[in-house]
Amino acid sequence: MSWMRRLLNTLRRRTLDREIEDELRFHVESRAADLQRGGMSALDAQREARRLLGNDVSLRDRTREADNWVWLETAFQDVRYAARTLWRAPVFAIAATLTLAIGIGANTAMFAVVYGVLIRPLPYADVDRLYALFQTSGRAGRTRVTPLDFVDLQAQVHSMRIAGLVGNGFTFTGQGDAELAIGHLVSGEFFDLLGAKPALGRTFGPADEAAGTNDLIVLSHRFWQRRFGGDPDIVGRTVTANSRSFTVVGVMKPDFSYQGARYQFWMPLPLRGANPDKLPINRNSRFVQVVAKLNAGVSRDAAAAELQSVAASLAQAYPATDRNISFVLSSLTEETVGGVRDALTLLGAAVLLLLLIACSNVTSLLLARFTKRRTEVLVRAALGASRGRLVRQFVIETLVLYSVGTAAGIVLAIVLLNLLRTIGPVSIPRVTDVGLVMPVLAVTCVTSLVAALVFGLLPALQATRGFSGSGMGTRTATVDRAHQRLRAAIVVAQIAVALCLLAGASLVARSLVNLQHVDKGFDPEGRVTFNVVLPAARFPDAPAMHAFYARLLDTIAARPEFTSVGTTTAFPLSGQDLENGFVVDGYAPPSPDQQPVAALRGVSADYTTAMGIPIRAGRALTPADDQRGAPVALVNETFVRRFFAGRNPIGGRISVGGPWRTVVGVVGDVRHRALATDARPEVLLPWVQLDDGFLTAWARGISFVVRSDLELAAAASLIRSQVRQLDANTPIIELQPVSALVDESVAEPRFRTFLLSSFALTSVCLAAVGIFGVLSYVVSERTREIGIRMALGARQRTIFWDVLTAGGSLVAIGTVLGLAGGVALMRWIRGLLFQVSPADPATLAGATLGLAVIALLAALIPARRATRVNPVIALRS
Amino acid sequence: MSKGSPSLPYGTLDLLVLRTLAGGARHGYGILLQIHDASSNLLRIEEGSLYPALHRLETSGLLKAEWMISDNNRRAKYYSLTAKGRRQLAEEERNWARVAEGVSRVLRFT
Repeated sequence: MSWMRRLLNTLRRRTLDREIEDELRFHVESRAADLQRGGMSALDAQREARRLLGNDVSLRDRTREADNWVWLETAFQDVRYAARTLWRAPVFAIAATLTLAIGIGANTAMFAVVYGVLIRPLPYADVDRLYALFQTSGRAGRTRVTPLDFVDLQAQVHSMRIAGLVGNGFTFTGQGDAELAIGHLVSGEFFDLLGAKPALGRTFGPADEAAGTNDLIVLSHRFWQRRFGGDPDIVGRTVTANSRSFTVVGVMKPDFSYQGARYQFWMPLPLRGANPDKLPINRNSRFVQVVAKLNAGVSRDAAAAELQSVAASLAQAYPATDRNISFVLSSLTEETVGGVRDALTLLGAAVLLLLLIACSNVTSLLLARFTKRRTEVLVRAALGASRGRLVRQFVIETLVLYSVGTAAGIVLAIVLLNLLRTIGPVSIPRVTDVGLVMPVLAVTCVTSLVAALVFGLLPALQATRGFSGSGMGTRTATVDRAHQRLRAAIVVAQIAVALCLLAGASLVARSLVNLQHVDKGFDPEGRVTFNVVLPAARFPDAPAMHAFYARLLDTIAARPEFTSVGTTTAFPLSGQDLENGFVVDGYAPPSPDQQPVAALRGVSADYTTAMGIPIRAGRALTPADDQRGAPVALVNETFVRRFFAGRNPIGGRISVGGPWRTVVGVVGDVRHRALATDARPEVLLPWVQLDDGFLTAWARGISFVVRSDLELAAAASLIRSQVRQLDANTPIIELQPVSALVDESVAEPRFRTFLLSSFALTSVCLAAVGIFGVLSYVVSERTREIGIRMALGARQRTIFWDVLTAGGSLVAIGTVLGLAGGVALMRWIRGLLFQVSPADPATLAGATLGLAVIALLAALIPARRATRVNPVIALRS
Repeated sequence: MSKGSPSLPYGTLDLLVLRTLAGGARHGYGILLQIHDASSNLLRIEEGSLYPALHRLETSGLLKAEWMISDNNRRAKYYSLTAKGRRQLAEEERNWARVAEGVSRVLRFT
């Protein structure tokens, strides 16, 4: 318990001091009394008693040392002293604090994002056993699973449980305005698999599926709050969606979401036990997302092996479609956040470099400051302070500075994170959950502490060099030169690091520009898009859909304000897509089971005109290509290259399982999935010629594109009034300019570029401040020398160039190092670049030039100050 | 320190202090006098080392201290042994006896 007594004693220092005082006084007085009894005079006795006791101060110190932790006590003193010194140097304190706050704040905010998105586990049970399951076959690569294969897979695998889900939009009516909301149709195992418990009521499960009750709905917490006012009696109520009635069985907890908060409800996916022949789909319609949970103790390899054997049995059972099929697993975490991992890692690395520059700037400032306090150090060393004691005091001063900087940095991080929530792209998964949670703050504090110790020790050691013991007389010039070398090295390192960051940011920015100017294959300008859904309850069969579709198209096209109007079943960059197997007449696949796969769209006759998609050969669709007309199709250039290699596609025949269709035209490639992704083979069929079964099952969502010179608001109200005239119960959804869709698709790269550029520019500024600081210090230290030289006739220009060259050589060395490092590092970010090489000479040259100019501008100010030195004043001082 | 008194081997001070206090509570000055008297003035404690040693023994829990009124009617800090201190004393006495025995044998032998 001795440590506790010591701690207590440290805290009650004043009382302790008094007690020691009393005790020693008693000793002296008792001794003096004895001496007096032995015949000494009172005064002599007092003196002798004191002499016998020895050095009063040292004795008291040593006694106190036995009682408490003196180092802790002096640490308190040092902290107080440091606070006072910083208070007396406000300019230095503010500059250093701000620099640290920027570095630490940016790091804290960035780490909060990295932690929230990448590190924190997904909020599901046993995340390490959750996988996304994909199907691959032939050319199509990794795709979703066909519903028929899903049903078979579910029946045949034993090493895991799987759940299927399909995203779908439903129009909710009956309570307030008609509203289209997106949700997931999920198989019964879904909730159990994720370990998701409801907040109210229950979820549905395999039992409901077995009972054949499919008209159930589970609401997300937000949807329940927003649309149903948080009604506590919602469970058991009936809601109307797509004109069907669904019974609400439960409401999920607020923190539950799957693939983001935009999926607001869950309904049963009626696949199990369904009669495959009645499903209006074939084994080539791949649209079921599958999530798999391996049974406890099953390894990934074992699970993969079982999937292989199931695939083999499917291939045997359905040779026509499943010959080449296989299934692959990918960790759910990777699927969720894998897409942003590289970008976030890059940003994290960049912001760490920024912190490095910020800390080294503060170190440079501290070096200058501590060195200026040489007199203080000398005096204290003369009075017996050990070097360790002096070093400790300087380190504590740095710690105080970093503490203030960290506090300010955390405040800055709060601001930055709020900004992120407002302007950040919603496309980053889980970004809404990012916050300054305990682990983030802990990492921030530890990082700051480590940085303070590392970056504080250096100047402290430097400032106390040559003062220990007999080294008192070391010439100041030697110390100064070492100090200068250290600061110069810091500046060189800063320039190098800043250049790496700037080069990286420039490359990423170049990529963004390339991405924005890539040939999209269509023209987004002056066009508006919106979606309409034809619900099955109101349009039960193909004729009803055809009739309404024709009237809808006519009503909108009738307005002279709209130059052209088109529709498609899958709008570019909207995330909608559907791929299907084809037979191409005269095309022999490399192996018999590798059937061509292409994206399938049902479009209106004017779609290509309205979208500005060029016709490369043949003709566009016409109104004559209708139900009564001959079956026709348009294909894109990639389709031609792949399946009509060396042949004339016009007049060629393809089939989607139905009758042969004649290819009447070739359209230009459209970047459908993302601007950075090359086009895939694509087939455009007249919507009105789509097979009835396909139409009623998969072509109920129609995307319009309207070309018009009207303002967005005017176009929107005109479209709404036209549709309302025709039918008041059809909501217009997701109405927006096509250009907004394009913008949204580059939101994430744009945001990434913005962040990286901010980090890079901040680094460059800090590096410039570093150069400025060092050169200013050089000039102020050399004032006398410059004065002498000027008195001896040196020209101002010579002095000016002298200082500038000193700065310039630092910049030059830093640039060379930075370029070497940059070229090595840039390979690392190749995956984030688009149509620009990681060693792009123009970009690297631009970054170098930019940095050099800024750095030299920073050197200009001290250089000019040097020329203003007044020889008379300089020599007199 | 007067001439002729040998300097104490390192660590002996603790033993002397503990031994002295085995006879009852004393203040620092009292301990000093007692050691001088008991050793017939052969051993002299450097006064400057006594108080740090007392405080060290107190913080390690071998001694406990109390402010009491002294013979000359003054407030003084009285030290006494704790149970732990008694155990320590017994141990150090054994050690000392062994060391002293060993050293004297060596001295006789050579």
